[in-house]
Amino acid sequence: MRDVLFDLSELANVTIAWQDQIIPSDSIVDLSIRKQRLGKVIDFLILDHSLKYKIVGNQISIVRDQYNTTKENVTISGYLKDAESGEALVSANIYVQDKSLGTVTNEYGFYSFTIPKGQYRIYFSYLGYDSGINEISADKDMEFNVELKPSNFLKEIVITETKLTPIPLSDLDISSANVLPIGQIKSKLPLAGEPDVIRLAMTMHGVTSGADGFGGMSVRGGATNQNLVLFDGIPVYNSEHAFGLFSIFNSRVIKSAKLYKGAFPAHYSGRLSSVLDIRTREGNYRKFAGEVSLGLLTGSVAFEGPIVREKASFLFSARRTIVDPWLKTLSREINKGQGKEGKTQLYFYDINGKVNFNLGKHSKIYFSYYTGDDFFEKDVTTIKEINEATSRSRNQDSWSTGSNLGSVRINSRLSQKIYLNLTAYSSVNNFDAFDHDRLVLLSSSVDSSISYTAGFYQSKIEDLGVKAEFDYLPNARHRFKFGAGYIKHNFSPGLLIVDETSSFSMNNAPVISADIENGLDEIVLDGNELEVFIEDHMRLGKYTNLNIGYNHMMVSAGNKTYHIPQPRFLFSTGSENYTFKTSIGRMGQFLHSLNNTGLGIPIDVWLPSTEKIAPETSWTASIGNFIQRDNFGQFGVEAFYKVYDGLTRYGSNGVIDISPTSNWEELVPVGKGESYGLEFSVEKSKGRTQVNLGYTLSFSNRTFEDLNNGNPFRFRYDRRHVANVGLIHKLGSNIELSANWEYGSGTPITVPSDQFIFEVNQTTGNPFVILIYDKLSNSLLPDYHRLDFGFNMHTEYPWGKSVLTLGLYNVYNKQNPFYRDINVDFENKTISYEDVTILPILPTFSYSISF
Amino acid sequence: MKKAFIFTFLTILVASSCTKTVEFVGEDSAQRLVVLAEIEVGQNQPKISLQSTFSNADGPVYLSRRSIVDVYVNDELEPKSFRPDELTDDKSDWISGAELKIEEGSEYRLLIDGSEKGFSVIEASSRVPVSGVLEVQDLSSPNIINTQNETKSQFKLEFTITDNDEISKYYHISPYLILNDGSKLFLDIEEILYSKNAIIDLSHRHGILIDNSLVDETNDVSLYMSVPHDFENLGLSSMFMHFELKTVPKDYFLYHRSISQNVDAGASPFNLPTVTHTNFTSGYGLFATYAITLDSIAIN
Repeated sequence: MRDVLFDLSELANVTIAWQDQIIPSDSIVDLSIRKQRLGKVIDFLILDHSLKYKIVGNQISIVRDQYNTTKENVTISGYLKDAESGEALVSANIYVQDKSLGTVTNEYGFYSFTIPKGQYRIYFSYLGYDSGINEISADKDMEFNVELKPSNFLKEIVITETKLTPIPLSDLDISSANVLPIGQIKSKLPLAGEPDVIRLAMTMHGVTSGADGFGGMSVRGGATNQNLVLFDGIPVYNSEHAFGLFSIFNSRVIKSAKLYKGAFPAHYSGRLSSVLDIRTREGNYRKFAGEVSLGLLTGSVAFEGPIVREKASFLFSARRTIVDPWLKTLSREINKGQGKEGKTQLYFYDINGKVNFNLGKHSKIYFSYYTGDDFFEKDVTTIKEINEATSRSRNQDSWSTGSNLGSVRINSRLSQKIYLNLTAYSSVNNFDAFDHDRLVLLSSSVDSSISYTAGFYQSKIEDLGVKAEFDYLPNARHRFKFGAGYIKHNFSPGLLIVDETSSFSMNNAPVISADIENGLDEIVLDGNELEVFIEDHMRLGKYTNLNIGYNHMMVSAGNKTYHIPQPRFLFSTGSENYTFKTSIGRMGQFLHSLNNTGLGIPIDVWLPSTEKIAPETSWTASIGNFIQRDNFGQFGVEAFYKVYDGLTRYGSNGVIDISPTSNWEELVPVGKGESYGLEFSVEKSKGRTQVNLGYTLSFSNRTFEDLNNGNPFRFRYDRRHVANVGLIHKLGSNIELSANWEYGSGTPITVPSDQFIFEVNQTTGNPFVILIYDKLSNSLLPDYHRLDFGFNMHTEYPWGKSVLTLGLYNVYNKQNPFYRDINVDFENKTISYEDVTILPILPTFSYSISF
Repeated sequence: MKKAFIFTFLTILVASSCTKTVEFVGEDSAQRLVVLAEIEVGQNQPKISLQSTFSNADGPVYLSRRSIVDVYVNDELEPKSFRPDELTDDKSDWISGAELKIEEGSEYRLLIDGSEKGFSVIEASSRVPVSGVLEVQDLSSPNIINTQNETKSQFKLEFTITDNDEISKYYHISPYLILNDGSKLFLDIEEILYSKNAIIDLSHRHGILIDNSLVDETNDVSLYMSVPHDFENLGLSSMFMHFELKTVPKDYFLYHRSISQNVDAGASPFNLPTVTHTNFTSGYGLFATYAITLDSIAIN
């Protein structure tokens, strides 16, 4: 060993000093080194000899490790924070010098691990931040808080890595999961300049959307209502604006987002397919800051700052569409040109607010609130002169969908090894649609009159929930999570149609939606959902982890209680450059949703399980191999398989009336499903050019006894081949170019056969055509593909910085069809088909300043 | 200038959404026979309709006398044959040649061999359910409603149906009035008040379909219906409302429900498609046998 140390000193041109008596004289060393750090080599050489090295001035000294002989353990715990804002860093990596021990921070930046007494070098690292290395003398239980500095974008260094440590430290590393690169969200080609976390999630392999971005997120062939979307722990039912073009989450307030695609750990439950866990920032504890941004479609502001420096902070953001006043004016002009009165308007907005306070040294309380809404209205009046009468025919259609989420959360470090998170929340989600047709006839020669028909449809969900979650870290090899949660659900689906015809009255005011809504029978369906869970994340070896857990869900529906056992098993092993992962788990879902369009647009009717309709369940399994290369990135291949039971949808009865006496449960078909596939991925994450390639081959089908003659049919989100190529290149110190190409096989649709029948309507005497649908999902829309370009320019000023984003969505203007329309020519007795495209080539622009 | 730019941009956006005609070829483009064979108890000479499907390229095909159209009664070996009705111009009409008596409780099998025109043999079965009993609970006096464009007479009706068949609990009810000239004036169904999931207001035929097993616990069906005339000037032969109650097999219910949904959906891609029901193997349409009972109630 002595000779090797001399050679190292010469090769590295560094003085290495030691006392002869501490180096074993009979220690023979045989090693081959290539491009390794000197410290790492020395650690390897002295590992089993109770020695350690210190850097003293410009030389390395090898000394005895006086602590290495003892077996007594100590616990190191603390918080990892952002050095500029004081915000907690979530899922940050902490590992000990020889990398056999390590952990990650939890959702609140807290970490804890137990190690033998001794002198250690501890590495702290987090995506987008400069790593920290600290030497500590661990001779007793201690609190060790660390702050990391954000990496400066302008530096010419590697900025992002998909794997900051070669060893798996958290459940994210051993599950089929992605940490969404929130720091890159602006680089990922935002539509119309608005960065979006769900569009970012859709760039991950295994994740697709409905038609052309509309219609929600499908993960590994699952339905869009099977994703558990958590916003600071609150389940969200409708996470979309504008039918899925954007999410309701303002990216400016998001701190982290994790997407679990396979079996997820036991502390998550309630949905079958995936978990998207979004956490928001707390607000800068040290100084006031803000961001203002303007894009083609939306404008946004965000402000944050300390209420009491280092002890309390606030965060506020608001976002709204800006193009709607122009749309309203344009529609008014178009109607005027056609001799009509009226307008069309469409807008959405969302507001986030959060305040948090320290409660003593070890506890914190958070108050957060979100409100957001989408609104569409078309209100057109046609005026005609008929003989001596004037007729005013008004057609009004409107809908709105929105959410209000509020929560109170307490985090508390109960001891060095136990951490508690307690959340109470309220979540209200609603969808309303109002249709009003009104005819007013004004005449001097005959009685004048008003007649109208108005309909109001509502789907409303109100949840009250509470959840307690404990993190217990007894030592470095186990990390327990256990706890319980309860949700009280109230569902209010309702439909009311009224009409009236009366003699003219000057005081007969037009009907408004509130008039009808007030007349709606209050039909309330409720349910209770209770879960208890326990999981242990075990470190079995340097590269071997096992996460084993159990979640038991109990749901009450009327007089019936369902029990859903949900075992979860996640395992990974490998070496420094190779990882093998496998997982299996059972999931349960108390909630059902019925969708009455064939397009995957998320206008869902959410319903609870009842005495006659059991909860949905699934089993999901995956197995994967991943190779990491230090100078490149990662290659991976993963297979998955899912089976579903208790699935529901609208059946051959069509849209059903849901009311206490309508026997609606008899009319909801219940069936099964299956999804399986193979995912390939290549990530080059080092250097100035980052490349992501993904390809998924997948199959997804459904079987309902009452549909399609009981035969399996392709599910709406069964896209056989999906590929994604993404590229980000840093040009210079402040410019970023990006390109993204997406490909997906056409979505399955149901179209009539080219054979049809002509009949005569017995009531009207008019001809009509019977389109013959032999079976469901009998055709495919054309394949989808699209190329986007982007350009980001970051500029720093003394008072802050700005980002200019320009780009083109759908560069070569591919006409990707949204749906297929059918036109009937009764005179010639022929049928023609047309594919309708919505999103053509679109410019992207946004400008934001932050201070 | 700025306003002009925004208008131009929005116009481009709206105008850029486009349609593209596509050539569509289905999996199986062969023409098939379409049969509408609804045979009532007591019909002297039942008539069925036979044609083929249309396509963009081909018009309908009609069978000739060389084709075989037979109805088998229960287990009888000798069928009753249908032949083209030469008394009408409609090439799709076929009538029973031999006397065919349809009876409640009996089973029938219809077989059509159109191989002379290239069609494969198709067949379907039907059992005549035992008639249910209609009881009208209440019929309101007509309410006259006048508007500029029309006048209508509205009624509120409540009734129950008692099942007499163990298997089939499906009905087709058509309320109507009889005019002075003997013709029937069928009423439009305006609003169904209760048991909405049990009732289908047909879009292509008079009346409503009822699945009596889904009618709510009170077993009352309650609805508004109307005729597009001033009641006093209707010219009725009598002040009675009449009801035609068909007790139908399940295939009848499923077929007409799927056709009505098909008509309502109007081929819109925003509605879930309805698979067209048929009880024919390798063909389309309906073979159903049923009994009709009539009832009347005085109008106040």
